[in-house]
Amino acid sequence: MRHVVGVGDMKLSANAGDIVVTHALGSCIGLAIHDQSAQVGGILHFMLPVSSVNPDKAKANPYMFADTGIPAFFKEAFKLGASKRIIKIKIAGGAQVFDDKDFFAVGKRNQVVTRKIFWKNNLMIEREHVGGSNSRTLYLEIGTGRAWMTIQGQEIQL
Amino acid sequence: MITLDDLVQEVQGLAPLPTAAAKLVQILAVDEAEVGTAVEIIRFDQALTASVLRYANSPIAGAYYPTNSIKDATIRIGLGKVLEIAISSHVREPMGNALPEYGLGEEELWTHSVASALAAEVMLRDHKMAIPQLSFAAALLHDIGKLVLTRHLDPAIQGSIRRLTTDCSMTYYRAELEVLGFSHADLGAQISERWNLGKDISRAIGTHHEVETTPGPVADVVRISNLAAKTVGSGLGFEGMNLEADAGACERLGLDRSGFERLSADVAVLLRDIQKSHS
Repeated sequence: MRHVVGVGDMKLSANAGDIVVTHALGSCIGLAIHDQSAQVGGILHFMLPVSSVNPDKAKANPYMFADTGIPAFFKEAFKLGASKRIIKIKIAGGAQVFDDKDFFAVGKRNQVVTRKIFWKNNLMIEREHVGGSNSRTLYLEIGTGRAWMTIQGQEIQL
Repeated sequence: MITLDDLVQEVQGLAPLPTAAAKLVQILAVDEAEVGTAVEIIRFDQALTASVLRYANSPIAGAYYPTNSIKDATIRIGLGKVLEIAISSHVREPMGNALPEYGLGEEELWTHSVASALAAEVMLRDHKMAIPQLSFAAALLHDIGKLVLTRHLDPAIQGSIRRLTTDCSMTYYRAELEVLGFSHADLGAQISERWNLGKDISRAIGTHHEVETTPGPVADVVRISNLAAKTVGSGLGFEGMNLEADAGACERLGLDRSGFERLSADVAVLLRDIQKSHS
């Protein structure tokens, strides 16, 4: 079965036949996690770096922001049997508009906050394809843990 | 190679705006817009009356109590929103089509246009920013030029545009200008003029990718609305985030960086609510 993850949402699966996909990764980041031994994985698609811009919205939907979405996403993955020790992490997105003043640096800030969260939690990002200005689509195969993305019609393995 | 003049001929053949929308534009162009006159125009159009009442009573409009008075509904949502609703009925169908030449699937241009108009609405209603009522319609229509131009973007033109964006790090808009000598924004301004939407809307559409010019507050709102709509992942296509952003527009409108991110979060939530209510 194919699960499509919308903006500010996540989807986890423990079914080996499932594929999780998220489209329209512009400045947003798609975070794919996978635990091969538990056969658990999923994708989080968050939009903004920090929830302090709107704590009420973060309470209603933590997956919109990196700082609330990533911990909530991992918590749900652990409930399905994933283990922090062996989980593989891949990210794609964080595209950036041309902006001399870095006023609209949502894509860059999404990348920075994501790295900071993983660094603080002693987790490594295994593969990433971030930055630039093109939009991406991110896929994850639950049975194998294979993650790949498409950008401008080109397929790239992560 | 096609020219802007060729396409202007095509624009002249587009159906005119519905009468109610054309009259509302004239009313909104006057500084002290007269609600009573607008209500008479809306009442004359049954479909518009129904749409205005439906929107005014929806949770998205922040309705605390129901109303079946078109005057109350108009005051509640504002004339700018009424105009946007009147224009929406005219452009909804063509803007829902896929534009593969821009990398946009079915409904993607429409979703992006709605997200942009929502951003303008949120700026006025929730962020209490003093923005012109015409901004909603301008934001909704900012990419209307793509509808006409898409039919003329053959594979050779598309290839040239994409080469300039990848090899020369040019924005998609600049590459379109370089290859064709005009852009979807220029064409959109022509359509706006054909529909007599007035100079504020035409300039806002025509300059929505510019960062050097400052044609006025409607244009500033459209530039920010477009960026907020892109930030929520709408209308990306081949252009993606490959556009110049006008930080000056935010400064002129009094929106700081966290204000812009708050705006984007608000638009994302409202857009999802609208999509849920239509699914």
